Amino acid sequence: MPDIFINDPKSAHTPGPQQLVNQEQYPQVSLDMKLPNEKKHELYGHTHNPLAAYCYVPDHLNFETQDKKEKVVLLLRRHPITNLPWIIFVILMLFAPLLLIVFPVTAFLPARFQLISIMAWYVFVFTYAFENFLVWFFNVNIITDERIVDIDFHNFVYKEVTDAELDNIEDVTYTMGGPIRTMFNYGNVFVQTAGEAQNIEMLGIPKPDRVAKILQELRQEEEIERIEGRIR
Amino acid sequence: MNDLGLAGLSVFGVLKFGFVLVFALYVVFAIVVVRQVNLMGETLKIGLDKILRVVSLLHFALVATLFLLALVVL
Repeated sequence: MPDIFINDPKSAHTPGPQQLVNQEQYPQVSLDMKLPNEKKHELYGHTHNPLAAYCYVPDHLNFETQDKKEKVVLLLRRHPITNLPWIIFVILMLFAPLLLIVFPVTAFLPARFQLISIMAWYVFVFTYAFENFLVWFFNVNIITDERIVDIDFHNFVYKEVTDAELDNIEDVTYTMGGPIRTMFNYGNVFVQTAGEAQNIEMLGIPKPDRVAKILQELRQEEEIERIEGRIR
Repeated sequence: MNDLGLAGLSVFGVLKFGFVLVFALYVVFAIVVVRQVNLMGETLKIGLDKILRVVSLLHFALVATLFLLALVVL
């Protein structure tokens, strides 16, 4: 009677899971992440401008909850054009004291009070501009090779950080409508996640079509990792 | 105008007290801004951290100067 428990010697040569996926099937994002640092500088969307609203594979970026092996793929902020309303308002506020020449509503106050009031006005304008800049600068969406992180500073005293694993992404939708958004190429990206995880909204970000494409490629990369058994 | 009184208090004395109180609260707010900029920089290290900290300290210095001027000049 044949021994059915003898291992088939041919099974020792069966290709392991690491060889199931062809290198050519790797998404472009995956290949870009493996480039040496000198080559990364030449990638489309890569910039060294710290005020950039779109930066592909940023050089020096760390965030609070980042894992040691986690790599940042994309840094996003609202498009700079979205700051125009408060910038215009600040400029108007800078010229507002000139109205006192035409409408001297503070003429009844002694000169020292008027001087302090005008100084206080300009310090307040500086505070207003600084707060708006900080809110724009630190409200970022970070896409890494593992998850999406949404960091929101609503004001000086309230911070909200949301993250969603790429594996949990169910649907990615992007919208770009209106003449101004079309002209300046910015829009919204909505990421729907599975289960009770919070959905992520990226509002007013540049190149929403490229962001959606990169998210799609990262999800493909996750699938490849799962096939190859490289799940972290 | 400087002799205006209200129950023995100068009107401009009351106004000065109001200014000083508002600026004192503004100084506290400026301290919170310095603290929050530091925390923001810890949450997200992205470059410009040091410049923003300097600007927040400059903002605090401006507000503190305003407060002192209100105390002395008014």
